Amino acid sequence: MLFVNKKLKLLSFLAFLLVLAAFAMVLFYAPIELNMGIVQKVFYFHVSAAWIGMLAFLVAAVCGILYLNKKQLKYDFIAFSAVEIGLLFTAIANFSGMIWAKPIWNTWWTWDPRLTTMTIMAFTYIGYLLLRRGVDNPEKRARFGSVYAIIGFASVPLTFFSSRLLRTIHPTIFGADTGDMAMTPAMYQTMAVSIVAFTVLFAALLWRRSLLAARESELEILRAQTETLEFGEVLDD
Amino acid sequence: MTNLSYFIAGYLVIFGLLGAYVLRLVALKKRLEKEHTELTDHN
Repeated sequence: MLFVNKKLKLLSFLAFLLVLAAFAMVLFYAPIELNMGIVQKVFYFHVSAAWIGMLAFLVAAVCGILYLNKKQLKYDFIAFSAVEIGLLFTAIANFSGMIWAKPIWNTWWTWDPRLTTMTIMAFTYIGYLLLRRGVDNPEKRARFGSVYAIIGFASVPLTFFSSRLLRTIHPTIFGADTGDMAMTPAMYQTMAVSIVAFTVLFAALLWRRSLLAARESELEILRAQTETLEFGEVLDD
Repeated sequence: MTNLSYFIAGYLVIFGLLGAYVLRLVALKKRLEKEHTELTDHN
């Protein structure tokens, strides 16, 4: 059985409760922003999702380095899972951002540096998944994947600093001198709870997906053994 | 669409994508367990 793991179940339940609490804070605790109205509240989960996307790609790069050093496939399973989940959260950030942008910027999409670098980052990691699909040998796949995850990580700081270093209309929330989106303490608290909730959710999903990736790898070996056995039987006949 | 509609749409997309991924993991787990049973029985 894959999920007879009490700690994982507990972590998943905690993640569920935290996401629920964060959403309740978005609905009932965070005030409505004066200029943007209620649609501004999308931003709490949008920023958290973008943060998890970047964290996931950092985890993949670190696991890539660990795999190249230790040659243990478990690091490859974690790196692969992190990229898959990172892409999910990047998609959430992109789509929720587009929905926020329509009433605020009067367009779903613009080729702004932040949006463009975010898209480049997403396509970089789609490339990672495509590369892995093209390699059958598990060790070769892990080696190629690790190198790709390390090099591909260059797209993450590029995305993070794009709204700080380049001319952009995308608001900068943290570490901005301009203060283009001023927040009240209640807004900061909601933001913090959302980020913590998504981080715990990421940990739970990463754990589950890594277990499944390990099981997929076991099955790959089992399938190869079955095929060899069948081939032997055909030869005997 | 009003401002509220965009807010609702935003959270529908967020929870929709999260829910879809969780369902994908559940389906993948079931498929792998089934395949594992079949292969071990076969061997």
